[in-house]
Parts: sequence; C-alpha cells; structure tokens
Amino acid sequence: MTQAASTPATQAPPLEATDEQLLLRYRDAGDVEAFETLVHRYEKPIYNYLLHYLHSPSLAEDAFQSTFLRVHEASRAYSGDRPVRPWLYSIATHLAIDALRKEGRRQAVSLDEQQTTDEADLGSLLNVLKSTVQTPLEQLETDERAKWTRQAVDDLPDRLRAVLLLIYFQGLKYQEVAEALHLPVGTVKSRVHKALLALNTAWRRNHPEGR
Amino acid sequence: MQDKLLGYLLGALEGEETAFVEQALTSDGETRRQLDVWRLALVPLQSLPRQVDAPAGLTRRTCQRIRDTRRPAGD
Repeated sequence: MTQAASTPATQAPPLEATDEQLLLRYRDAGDVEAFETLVHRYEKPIYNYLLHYLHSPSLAEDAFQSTFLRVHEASRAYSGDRPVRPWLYSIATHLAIDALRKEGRRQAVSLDEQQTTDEADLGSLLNVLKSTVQTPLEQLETDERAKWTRQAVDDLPDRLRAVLLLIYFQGLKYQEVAEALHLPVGTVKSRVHKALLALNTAWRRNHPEGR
Repeated sequence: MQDKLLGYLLGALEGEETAFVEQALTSDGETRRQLDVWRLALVPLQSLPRQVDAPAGLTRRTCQRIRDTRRPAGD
C-alpha cells in the first residue's frame, strides 16, 4: 500500500464517505486511510459471514484477509459504478467455497435438485408452516437448538446456504445478493425459500409433534 | 404478496416494496395474519447468534498483509 495522499477539503472524512468513494480515493490517490476505513467498516460483517460459512476462526480470518487483498489487487481497475458491498460478499463467498473444498469438507444434499418454480417453493413452505401446531423449537434447550440449527444450515447445498447467510445473517437485500452471487433476483428468492423449506421440513422430520 | 411478506420479515426488500407491505399490514388484517405464519419460517434460525466480534486487530493484520504483498522481494 502506498502512503496516503492529502485529502482535499471538499471530500468527506473517511468515516462519512461511501464505500465507493473510499475505494476511488484508494485507487486515485493511494489513500491508505480510506482503504483501512473500508476494511474496518466490513471487519465485523464479512468476518461473521465467513465464520458462519467456515466454522473456523482461522479459516475465516484468512479468507477475510484474502478478500481485501483481492480488492486491493483489483482496485486499479475499479470503475466506481459497481456497488462495493455486494462485490465484497461475492469475493468472500468464492474464497469460502474454495477454503471448504481445500479442507475437503463440503457435502452435497439433494434438496436443491428439485426443479420447482418460485410459486411452488412458496406454497410448499407455507404448507409446512401452516401445519406447524406449535412453535417448533420452543421445547428444546438453547444449546440443543443452536447445535441442531447450525448443522441443518451446514447441510444445505452451497447455493442455498450462501443466500441464506447473506440475507438472514448479513442483512443484504435480495438485489444485493443477486449482485453478489451473479444471479437473477427471482433465483435468489427461490433459493431462500428452498433453504427455509429445507430447515423447516428437516425440523419436522426429526422432531415430530414438537418433541 | 406472499413473496413480499417473507422478504419483509427478512429485511430483504427495497424501500418501495417495504412501504407497500407496511401499507398492506396497516390496512389488512389478513395480511397481518399471514405475516405471523411466515414468522414461523424463521424460528429455527433464531437460536443462532447473528454477529460475534471480529478478532482484535483484524483490520491491522489485513492491511499489513497487503503491505507485505506489495513489498518487493529482499526489501
């Protein structure tokens, strides 16, 4: 990283600048403070995303660092048109998938092999929910719930898990997830429905009548 | 609307869609009842913590790694 150039008075301070402005400052002026502000801004959300994905603090940290190394390497070509947030999650997702492959601990679940429409997904999930007599997890101890849910999320195929983690745990909008994963918005919606259907169906299968 | 209700619960809608759903929730009891059904879909996830603190010094180590990468060999 090069040394920071002086910041013109007309520019917003780094903490108030948008992600895109920060990256443009880094591209144009080698503004290290701007880049570090961007890294710090995403320290918690991207690390958490990677930790949910990888379940390993060391792998999550390595993937986090690699994410911003990629951003640094690509910063000269950054045009300013692309929203930074979904781009960061796109890079982080690819690195997480690579890390899991290297670890040899990615599994396949057949749920996503079903070819269903968005409406069919919604209807199926809605049917599962409507037939839920009682709140499904209320009778379990907290630790047991967390353990079961973590495993159930892990058992999802990558393409469903990534969408669920980005939307539920990271708070991305459908549109941002579509940009991050290079998918149509309709596919993002379909995948989150499938992911939730899988979780709720698995719960009912493994804990009949809420036991 | 079903599609939007789940997106609303997830916080995944854009501003206009969110306003549309909130208007429907204000004026339509059936929509509110459906929203309660959709809430059940998220119950299994609520046992997991959404955010933990990142390890101390992560930003510093990340920027240091980038500096090290840029440094010519033998520097």
